[in-house]
Amino acid sequence: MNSQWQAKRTKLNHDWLKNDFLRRLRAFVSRVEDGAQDAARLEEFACKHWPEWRRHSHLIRDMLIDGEECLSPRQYFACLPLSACPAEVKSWLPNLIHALWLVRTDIRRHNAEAQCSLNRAEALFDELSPILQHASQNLTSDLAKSVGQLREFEAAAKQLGESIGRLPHHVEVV
Amino acid sequence: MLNICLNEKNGRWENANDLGGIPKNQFNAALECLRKRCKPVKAVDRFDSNFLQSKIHVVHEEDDAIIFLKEKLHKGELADDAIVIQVSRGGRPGLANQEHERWNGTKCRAWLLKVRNHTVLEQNFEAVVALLSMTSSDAEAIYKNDLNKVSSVLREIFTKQTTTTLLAALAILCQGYLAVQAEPGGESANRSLPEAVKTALQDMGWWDIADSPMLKPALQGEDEGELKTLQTKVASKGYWDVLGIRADLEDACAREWKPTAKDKQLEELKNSDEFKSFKKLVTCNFPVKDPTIVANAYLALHEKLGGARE
Repeated sequence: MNSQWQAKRTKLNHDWLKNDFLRRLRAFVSRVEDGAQDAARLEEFACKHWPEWRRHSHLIRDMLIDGEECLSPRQYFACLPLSACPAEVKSWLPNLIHALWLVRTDIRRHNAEAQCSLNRAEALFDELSPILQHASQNLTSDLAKSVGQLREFEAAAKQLGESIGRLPHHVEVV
Repeated sequence: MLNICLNEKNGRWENANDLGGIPKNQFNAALECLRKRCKPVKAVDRFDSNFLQSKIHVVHEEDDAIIFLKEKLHKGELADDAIVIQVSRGGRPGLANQEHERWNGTKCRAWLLKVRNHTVLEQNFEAVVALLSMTSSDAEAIYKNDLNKVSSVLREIFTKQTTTTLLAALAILCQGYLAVQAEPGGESANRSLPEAVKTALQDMGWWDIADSPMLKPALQGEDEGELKTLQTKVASKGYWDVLGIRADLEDACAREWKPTAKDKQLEELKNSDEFKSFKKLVTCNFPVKDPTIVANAYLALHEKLGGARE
């Protein structure tokens, strides 16, 4: 459970968000800011890479929802040796362990920060999408008006990546 | 005569006590069952001249029989579509994650299948029967992890098991034990507890959750009688027994504590100060009456498993 979640995090946060999407986004915003007349590249990002956010943001949201359960030491009661605990012990010990883990890791705060950045990025994405989708031939000048929002979106996405990175990297039992 | 090749590490099967930790009597009962159900069955090992006719070979994880069988395969001397089954109980969780193999020789082929769940073989000789009467189509389905195509018993044997380390499991049991020792009323009501217990409770985060709705009412101080019952239960053998055979526990934990250590280093570790308080817990008698023993073991685990301290 934990290893699958960690693999999902690596794929979504490290591989896609930080090393793919954000790098392309930064280059895109810089081109817009510089007024570069490289319409083909701007268009490529707007048509091909920008829409990827929508699909990935849903996956990230699901991952954050699953995070608490997948990172909790409570999951150890589903596998040996603790799965062999008497039912009476399982009626109270897993919840106790989960509650102790919550206060030690402060995971709900980190998770809430990540959700907050995701919501902010989502809202900006919705505002920016029509501009990127319907930008005319003169893409640079159309987009130049939205540079501030693009930078805000970039900051929210970066913040999201950092918050996801702060979630535990293994199941902490002590 | 159906030959089934059983190889325990380095020795004759007739002198072996077990195979990869699975008791010999489980295999004998299974062989007897097969004899009654179908045809004459004989247990051979690789020292028998007729072992090459065996369709089923059961080998131990570290057994050099695997190398031996591979050589025979490449010489074309192995029965075609032979099924080699690797078993190993406890202490070698790596086997559970290794992939099955398909061996291709010039004249014959074989499968090497890794048993994932040894407990079922130890507890149910019918599972051993299923293992020893496996067919080529079963082997192919298991090799491809297409477990819906095999019987429920084989599915159980070859389904990957997830395991928790013993040290993590012990840390969890210690927390349960210690939480039950605290009286309701938070830190101020527990000044009389031994220092080690107070420190352990602090490190666990107990004082911050004492009134959490996730807790059983007895742990929130709402049922004193039930709390006393819990205190008895967490001190009992039944609570700690899930960790396995008590006599093996110290050794198994030492191996996890220092996975790279060889036998001599393990002995040194078991006598070291670092391991001392932990050893006391895994070797003490039941019921565990002294909470300091558990607290000190927890603090050692806290240090070992990298817990934070305010």
